[in-house]
This record gives sequence, C-alpha cells and structure tokens, in this order.
Amino acid sequence: MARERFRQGLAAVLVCLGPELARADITPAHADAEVGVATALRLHGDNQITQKAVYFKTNLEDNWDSGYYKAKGRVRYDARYDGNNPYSQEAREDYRFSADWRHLYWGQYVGDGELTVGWQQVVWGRADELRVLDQINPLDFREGLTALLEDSRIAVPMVRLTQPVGEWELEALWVTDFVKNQAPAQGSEFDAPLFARPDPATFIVDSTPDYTAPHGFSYGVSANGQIGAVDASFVALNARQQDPVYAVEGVADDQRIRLERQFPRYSMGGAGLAIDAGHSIVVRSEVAYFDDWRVTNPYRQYGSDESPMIKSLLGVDYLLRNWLISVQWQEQQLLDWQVGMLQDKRDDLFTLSAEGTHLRDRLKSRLALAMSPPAKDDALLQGIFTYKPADWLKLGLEVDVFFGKEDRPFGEYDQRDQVRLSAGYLF
Amino acid sequence: MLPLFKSLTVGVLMLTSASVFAAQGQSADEIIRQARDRNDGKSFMSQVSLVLLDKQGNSRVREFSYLQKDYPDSDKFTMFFSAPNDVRDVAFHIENPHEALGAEDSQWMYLPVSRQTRRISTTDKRGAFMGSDYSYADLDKIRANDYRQTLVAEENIAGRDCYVIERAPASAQVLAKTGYNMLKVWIDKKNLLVMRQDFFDVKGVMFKQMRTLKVETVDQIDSITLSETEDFIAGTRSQLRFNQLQYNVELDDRLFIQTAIKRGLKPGDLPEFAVSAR
Repeated sequence: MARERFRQGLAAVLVCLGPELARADITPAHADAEVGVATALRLHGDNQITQKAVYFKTNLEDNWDSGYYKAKGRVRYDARYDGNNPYSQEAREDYRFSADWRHLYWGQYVGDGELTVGWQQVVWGRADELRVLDQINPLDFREGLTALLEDSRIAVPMVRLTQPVGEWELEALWVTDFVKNQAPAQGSEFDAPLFARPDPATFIVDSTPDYTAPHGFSYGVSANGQIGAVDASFVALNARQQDPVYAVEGVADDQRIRLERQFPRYSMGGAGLAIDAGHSIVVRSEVAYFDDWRVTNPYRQYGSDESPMIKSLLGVDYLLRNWLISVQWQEQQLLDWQVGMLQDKRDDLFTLSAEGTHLRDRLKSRLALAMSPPAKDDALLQGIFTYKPADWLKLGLEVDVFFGKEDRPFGEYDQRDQVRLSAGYLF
Repeated sequence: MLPLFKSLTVGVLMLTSASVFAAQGQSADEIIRQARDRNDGKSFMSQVSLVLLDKQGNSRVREFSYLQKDYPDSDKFTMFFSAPNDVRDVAFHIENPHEALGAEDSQWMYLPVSRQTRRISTTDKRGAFMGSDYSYADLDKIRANDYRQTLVAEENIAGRDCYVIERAPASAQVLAKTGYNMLKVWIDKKNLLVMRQDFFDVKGVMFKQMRTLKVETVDQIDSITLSETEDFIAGTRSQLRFNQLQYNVELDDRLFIQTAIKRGLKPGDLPEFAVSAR
C-alpha cells in the first residue's frame, strides 16, 4: 500500500510539475537528506530485537516567482522482517520495506494567498500530541501508539487554498481520496487487541467498500486569527471516519454474523483558543462536535449505532527557562451512548510532558506521561532524546514503558516496553 | 519574546550639532528613556547571522531574515530562519506594546516539524535564544520602568564616550523574568547605542557580558552590525551579525501577523536587500 502510494506520488509530481520543471532549473534550490541505521529492543520476552533497519530521508524544495514545490520522503528497509523471525507473513511483507511521502505538493501564489495541490499534511489546532481538531490526516499505527504525530500522520491528496484577510487567515481544502488509519499488521510486533478485527469464529466480514473517488472525498474550512488577546481558530470538516466501523448485515448460512466494514461519513465543527495568562503560563483549549458519528455495536440486528460525540481539550503550558512543561486533559464523550457500543461513553486522557533544548540546542529532550484514569490501569512513560554532537551526525534514543491492564490501550503493551536507538548521517 | 534587536541594533538619526544629547545633568532614567525612544526608522529589515562559538572556537551559524515595523500602539517583529537545515522554516512573531501601555509582549513560534504555530509565554525570558548565549531577555527592547537605574560613571570604550549606568530590577517579577540581579550598561553619549552590558547574578557575580564590536551608519542611522555575548561560566560566545540592514523599507502588514510565520517568506514578500550596508 505504502509502495503503491509512493509510486502514485512520484507519477503525480512528474505530471504536475512537468511543465514548470521544463521551464525551470530542475535542481532544487534546497535539498537535504539523512541516511542512517535504527534498531529497537523489547525489554521483555524472547526475540528482543524488533528492528534492524536502514533508512533514508530526503527533503527537496524549490521556488520561483509564481510558486514552489516541496517534496519530503522516507524509505526504510528492516532486516528484522527478513529471514528467521517470529512475525506473520503479512507482517513481513508490510514491514520489510516501507516508503512514503511526508508531503509532495506544488504551490501557486494567488494574490496574497496560495493554492497548493498534492499530498499534504494539515494540522488544525494547538494540542500537543493529541487530536481534537486535528482530524484531516489519518495516522499510521504500524509502529504502535507511541510514535509522534509528526512521524505518523499520513499525507493525503488534496487541493488547498489559503487566503489572509486582515489579521485572519482563511483556508478551504478538498481531499480527493479517502485514506484510512493504518493498523499494525496482524502478527506484527505492534499488533494488539485495540486493532483487533472481528473474530472469524463469530463474524464474517463479507463486504469492504473501499470508497474510491467519488465517494472518498472530504472537505473542510478553517479560520485562524485573534480576538483581542486570544488566539482563535474555527474549523469545519466533512469527512469519513478513519477507523473502521462494522455494520451488521444479517446472519450467514453458517450462522455467523455478517458484517460490512464501513468508514462512515461525519461532520465536525470545532473551535480552539490560546491565551498568554501571564506567570509563564499559556492556556489552550479546543472543543469539537462530531455529528453522525458511527460506532460498532455487534448486538444490533442491522447496521451500526449513531451518536453525536464531543471531544474537548484543556491544556496549560508552563515555560521554565529552556523547558516547556505541558499538562493536558482530553475528554471524548458519546452523547447518545447505547449498551453494546464498542466505544466507551466517556474517555479521558491526561498527558504531562516536558520538552527542552540544552547544550546549545545540540540536545533535544522530550519526557512524557500519558494515562487514562486510574493511572495504574493504563499509562505510558516515554522519553525521546536527540543529540547532535556534530552538524552531520544525529543520535536518537527513545524509551517507551507501559503500565496497565490488558484491555486498555497502553496496558495491552505492558510486556512490550521498548528502547529504540538510531544514528543518522546528515547531508 | 524578542521585541528585541531594536535596542541592540538600531542607532539614532545623526542630528545636527545642536544635538539632543546634551547630556550634562541628565539622570540615568532620562538617558535610558532616550535610548529607548531614539529614532530608529519606521521599519527595518536585515539578514542576520547568529554565530555560536564553543570553548574551542568552533562555530555554528544560523541565518535568519529579521523584519520589524512600527505600529501606533506597538512594534512588531517577525523572524524567518533559513539555515541550517535543523532550524530551516522555524519562525517567530513578536508584538511588543509600547511601554507606556503597561502590557506584556505577545510571542508565537512556528515549528515546521509539528506544523503548528504555538503561543509562547513572555513572562520567563531566561531561556537561550536558539541555543545561543543571548537570552530572550537580552534581546528585549529597553524598558525604562522595569529597573531602578543609577548613573555611576562616564567612561571611554573603544574611543566612544559612554554613560555607565547600573540597573537593578524594580520588582521580583522583573528579576524572575530576566534572571539578572543587576545590569551595568555602557551607553554611547553620542548616539545612545548600548556599547557594553555586564550581567550579574544574585550573588553579585558577573557571569555574562555583551559587547558591541562594530557600528556602521546606515541610512543616516547609527547601527550595531556586530554584537557579541560571552558567557564566562560556560566559556562560550555568540555573535549577532546584521547584514544588509535597511531602514524605512516598505514591508507589508501581512508579514506582521501571527499567521504569517506558518506561511513563511516567499519571493516578492520583501524588497530587494541592499548590499551597500555590508
């Protein structure tokens, strides 16, 4: 899938940029790249090495009087999924080689605004590693739940127009194709009950519409600016849910329940704000209302359940010299919850993080705690450190430690605490 | 947080011989206010090199475009970093209300990695500016009322006659914001540029010094084009080199709003940089 999108992207950029590039110097005005090695160690059980990868990342940009292009891609080969390993065939095929565009688009200046066309990532809202308004790009969960959003958002094909109006910026976007969240392959290191598919002993999924154009589109608008001393954002989006919903279709001849895997369409409206409250504190808040939200309910005789949903977030940032300390509370609530729904009526998530730069910006650190109450049932401790002893060398250390019960998102990884190491050459 | 380089970089119009800097009998407060309010044009732009020097003298250079424009109630600043790769497309926007209004600055930072613009508190300016020896407080515009100041001497530095003024924080909030228990500042009598500033911690130890290394006259305004700050504890130095300075340039208002930093600097946004000032 990733390889297919990579090829599609490459073909598309050649088609889009062909005329422009024919007139311009094809050498990008800016190019940088990183080649490196990465490994991961699980701290429990057998076969503790879970990654032995080499990777290449590149970033190309050029601009001219009327526009520009940006291309950012990454390629990875993981030798752990070759030869002897404990993973499934599906996992081997999915993880052995992966490639994707982080973005690949062409921009055209239109008056004070600009029109961009191509595979893009668009981030709405101000949340730190949580998603309330940030609903446009699906996520790649193939490395589990703990990858940073900047690494796990999947670029989607879109046409996007931005236009400054006074002190505000207005934005309209049209996503041409539907792309769903990518779950870990079954039998892979990061497979977990959270991503489980319906048990084939009880259910049969005999319909899986893929929402190709013209059914997969989504569209949205946003406005960002200031109201007095408050930063304000307003957004509206009509899109398809990025995780599957299984609708009951009836009973099969073998008495199993027939399901259709759907990605239903919904509408979302929301707002966000941020204000400097003094005393080194910035307060952030977001709220979003999801209409026509669908939830799997295997106890239904037909279809799936529908309920409006509200997601909200309150965050406080405290600046302490070279550290930014953030506390966030996110709540998700189904307003018309029904017995049997495979989504809790209310879901709370708390995060505490500290990000800092030291050693003259050579060391960047992020320490984070995420938990759903009670903390002993569902918690994650994470440390991410990037050290650049020289401008051409980047060393990475990441640690994930999970706590909790097996039926909770972090708890289900309890015996899969990880340490990840990487070394990259920058040029 | 950096409503800033004005105090560091900008000079004053070269006036006629009946200069306002008569000096004799001026109080320290008056001198500081004159330094704060000196004529520095209605707008300003420069290509700035931030040079980080370690103990061994090895250097790293960070390049950014620095834009400033005066508004009726505030000065606004926008910075777009262009090199090296790890800071490319990082941008800041700062709105610095005039001191008489009694309002705090506002600051936003765009980080391309997260693709988000974040509002940053301005009540703790002790952090290092982009890993340098300049703190955000060092780059702040002069605020006369934040300090109790005393004219302690008149000295000659590098051939320039200077007032020497000691400045003590007027409140615990100012001390907490800057981390400086006392400042000693040398102000050029002729053009009111800050030629040197010594920084003292709560124990009275001078741990950092900022020095003006080069002054040039650009568009009839005396301007600091090379400044250096040395941290005596860490043994490191940082320099700010202001290249291609231009005053009173036509800068579009859309470059001075917080949404501009996510958009970045595009061709045609700025007038051509002049080369004469370098």
